[in-house]
Amino acid sequence: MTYSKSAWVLVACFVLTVSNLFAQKVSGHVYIAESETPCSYATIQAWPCGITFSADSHGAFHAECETALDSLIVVFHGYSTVIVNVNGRSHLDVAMHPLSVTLNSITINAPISNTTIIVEPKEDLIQTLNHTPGIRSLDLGAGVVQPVIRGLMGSRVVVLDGGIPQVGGRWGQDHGILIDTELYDGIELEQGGGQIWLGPDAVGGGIKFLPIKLLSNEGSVTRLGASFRGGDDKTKSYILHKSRNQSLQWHCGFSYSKYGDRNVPQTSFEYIGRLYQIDSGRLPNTSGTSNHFVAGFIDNQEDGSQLSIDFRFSEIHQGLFPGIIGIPTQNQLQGDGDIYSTDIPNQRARRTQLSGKWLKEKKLKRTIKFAFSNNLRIESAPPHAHGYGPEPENDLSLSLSENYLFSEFKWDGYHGSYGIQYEHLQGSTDGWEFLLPNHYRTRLSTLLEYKFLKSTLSARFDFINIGNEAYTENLYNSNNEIIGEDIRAYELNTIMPSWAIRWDKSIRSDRRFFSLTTTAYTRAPSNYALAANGIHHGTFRFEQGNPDLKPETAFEIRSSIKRSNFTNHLSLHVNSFASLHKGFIHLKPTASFAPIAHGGQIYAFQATDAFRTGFEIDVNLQRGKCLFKTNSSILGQWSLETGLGLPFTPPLNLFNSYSYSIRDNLSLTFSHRAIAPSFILARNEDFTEGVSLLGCELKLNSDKEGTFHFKIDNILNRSWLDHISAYRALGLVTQGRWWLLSWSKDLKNN
Amino acid sequence: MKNLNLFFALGTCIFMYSCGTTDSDAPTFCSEAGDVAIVDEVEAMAGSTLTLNQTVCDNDALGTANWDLHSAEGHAHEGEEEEEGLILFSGSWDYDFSDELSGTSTTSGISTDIPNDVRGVWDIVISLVDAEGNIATDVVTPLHIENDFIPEYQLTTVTGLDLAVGGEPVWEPGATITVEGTLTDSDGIEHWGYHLENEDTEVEIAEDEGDGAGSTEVSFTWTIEIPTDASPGEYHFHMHADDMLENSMETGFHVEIE
Repeated sequence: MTYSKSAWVLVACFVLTVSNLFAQKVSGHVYIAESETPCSYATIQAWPCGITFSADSHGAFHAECETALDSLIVVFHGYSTVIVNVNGRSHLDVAMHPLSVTLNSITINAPISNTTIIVEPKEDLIQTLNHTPGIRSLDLGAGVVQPVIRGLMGSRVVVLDGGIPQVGGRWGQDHGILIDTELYDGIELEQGGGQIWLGPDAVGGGIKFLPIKLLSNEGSVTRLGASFRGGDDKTKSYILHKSRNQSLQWHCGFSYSKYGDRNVPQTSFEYIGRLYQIDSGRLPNTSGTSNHFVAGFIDNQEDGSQLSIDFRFSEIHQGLFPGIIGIPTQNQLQGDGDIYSTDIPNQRARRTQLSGKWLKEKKLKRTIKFAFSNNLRIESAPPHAHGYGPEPENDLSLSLSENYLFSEFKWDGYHGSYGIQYEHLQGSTDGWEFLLPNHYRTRLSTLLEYKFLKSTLSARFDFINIGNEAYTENLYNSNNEIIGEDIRAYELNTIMPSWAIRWDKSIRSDRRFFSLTTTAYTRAPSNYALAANGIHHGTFRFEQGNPDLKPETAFEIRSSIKRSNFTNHLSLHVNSFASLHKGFIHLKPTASFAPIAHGGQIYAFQATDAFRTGFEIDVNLQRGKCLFKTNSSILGQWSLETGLGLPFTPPLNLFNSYSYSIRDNLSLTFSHRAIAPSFILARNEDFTEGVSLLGCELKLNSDKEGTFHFKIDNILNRSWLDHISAYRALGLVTQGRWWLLSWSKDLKNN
Repeated sequence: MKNLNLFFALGTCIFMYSCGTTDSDAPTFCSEAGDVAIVDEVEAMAGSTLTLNQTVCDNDALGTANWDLHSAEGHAHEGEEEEEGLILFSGSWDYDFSDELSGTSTTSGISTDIPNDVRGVWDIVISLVDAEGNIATDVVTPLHIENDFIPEYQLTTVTGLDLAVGGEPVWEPGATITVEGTLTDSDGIEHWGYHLENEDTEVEIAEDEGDGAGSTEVSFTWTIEIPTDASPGEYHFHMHADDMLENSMETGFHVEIE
């Protein structure tokens, strides 16, 4: 069968006609909605035929499908993709809108600064501090823990509770910090001076106890634990419960510890030239109790705001070794056979604090912190008079009550932050052993921080109003008759501006981090340095303030380098610093003796130029089931005028440990701590021998039963003096061998 | 990093090289004949004037010498030879004097009246600092004070105590204790007595007293029954007496009841 040519032409015409009946064409433009300018070369896909093409440089396009064209997809980089239904139209103009992302607010709990060191918590605060390079702690009971950072202590080290500076006679070596690490969510360390947000006193640095964090999900977590320490027979238990329901979390915790007289491998000690015997192997009347409480809530709103309120209460009651207050008799050192009993002399310290924080994040993060606290410290002692005068009628040796108000307003942005801090301290003293008059201190600071090119430039400017009342006592003759007035303190009211300027530069790669900090700053003298004038039982010395002191100035450079190898088995962290101080304020022995009997040589606050330098190193090496850790710190600090060391310069400290994982959840650790002899000595400071201490610990982690921990410290029961402790002046050694058994567990209910 | 450490090391060297030096040598007790530091002990009478001297030296400049006289009861001093035997202390007396010095060698001295109601051993402690604040090791010398004004107990027997050695007796509840000796006073004894007191509670668990009738010497033998319900603890055995001129004396010793 054959068809004519005309038939083929007819069929062709039919097909063409029919196909034209179903084909559809659309033309139009793509443009930027905000600027109403053409969107050049936007990618367009026509559906259902799937043809993809581009608009021209003027945003014009022409689309055509062989079948019906129902929609176009328009895509352009940086703009939201648009799907347009054609609906039979032949012309379309498509508006393009920029991409936008909406994020819910989040709270970042990571360290805010490159120089912040996260401290690994140990079984108690003393061990935690002693195992961190660059930090040491003084210890004579749970209430007398004092952090020492790079050789500085007392008011030169700031202790912060959730960003709130802690007061409470921080100038006293024997005035420990009333904090239990179990009721916090971590510890961070800032080393060195020139700190902007920690305030002007943080010359040595600051220890930050992190407040209780918001749980990431709804549910509850209960952290609980208990421990017993053989040696001073210390028992401790704690519980911290957090519960979150939608945006609201509440938390509550409590800890309690009780400890007996301190065990010491020592048989005698000397105080003001008197020699005493210790018969029982314990320092009598050094037992005590401590309890801590926290309750609070965090309200986390979806609009990015968060409000948290915490109430904290801490209290310690501790006997004081009879040599601390007054001159003991040998009979007082016999002990009564009950290692938990306490008698006078003793101390009670209490902290009651209400703190809050509100923050809201939009373009700027706004934070307001506030706190009010009352800090009370009472020392009781057998009534005694120094020299002539009637014997006191009660046993209140010294009381120090400090009311403290703190507030901070801070704005954080992409390129920096700025803020204002205000604090006021009102201190009042009482008791028959005068040391410090009623005093006050107010600070108003402006703080700025600007980030650029991996650097941060920051500054703080302070106005400090500082002062104290006058104080006089009656002067007696040998017949206890009043013959005049003994002026112990003159009235003082002065304003001392201070400042700090700091530049941080950091370089970071995958496995390396290097930071360099350069800072210059001033620090106003403390109330104690200006007005003290009496026997300080914590240091066993007559300490005298100097109202003519001016703010000291310092210039400091410090660096930090962190490095890990390619297999992550080796990590190295080295910190170093050098600082030059003009008018460094510290206690120096004078050529005079105390005007009151048995007060000994006068130590007076004086300002001398000083130079300090040192470095800390921390190395971890993991090889299979073995972990080697070593850290060390070395420090030098000298008075430039005399060439002698500054008081209480910590000698070189080296800590090594070897851990072996017997099983996934069971590890055994052997440790060795060496403290070098004290070669850098201040005037009249005694040389202290070095010591080598051995320890071991066994740790079992079980998901069901919790974590069990057994540890022995100072296995050989070595008798050693801690050079940086004021008790070293009495020749009192540190605690002897002790062992610890502890258990802890986190109960989660999500 | 290497450069930085080098910088720190160099900085340390420069600063330490440029920093000052100071006199860090402590002053010395450069004694001459009769000085307190070189005698074994000093003897004195209550009611008399005590005069003491000590020569002191320093390589640069002297500062202050502090004289501290206090009862030796209840403690010892490093390097000091312990007094052997039981010492009965009477009265309280402290003396404290700071003597500001100058030059590199001088004699520091004190002169003071000893009260007439003290008896026993006192410590003479001399502390010395130079002008820089360097402090010398203290000199400690015992001062034996005899007394003709107040009555004097002399014990010959105390249960549980070797009087030639000293220390403290340990007595038990229910025990019978003997305290024997003599009480003398040239002016005549008017009254005597004793009591055993708990140092914590101040409760007296035994006591007795008597009339001396003006005798210059009274011999006594006290028999003391320790109550069976006596609380264990630290006690003090107080002995007191008055003479005919109303000079009072109190003394005693420490006791432990177990």
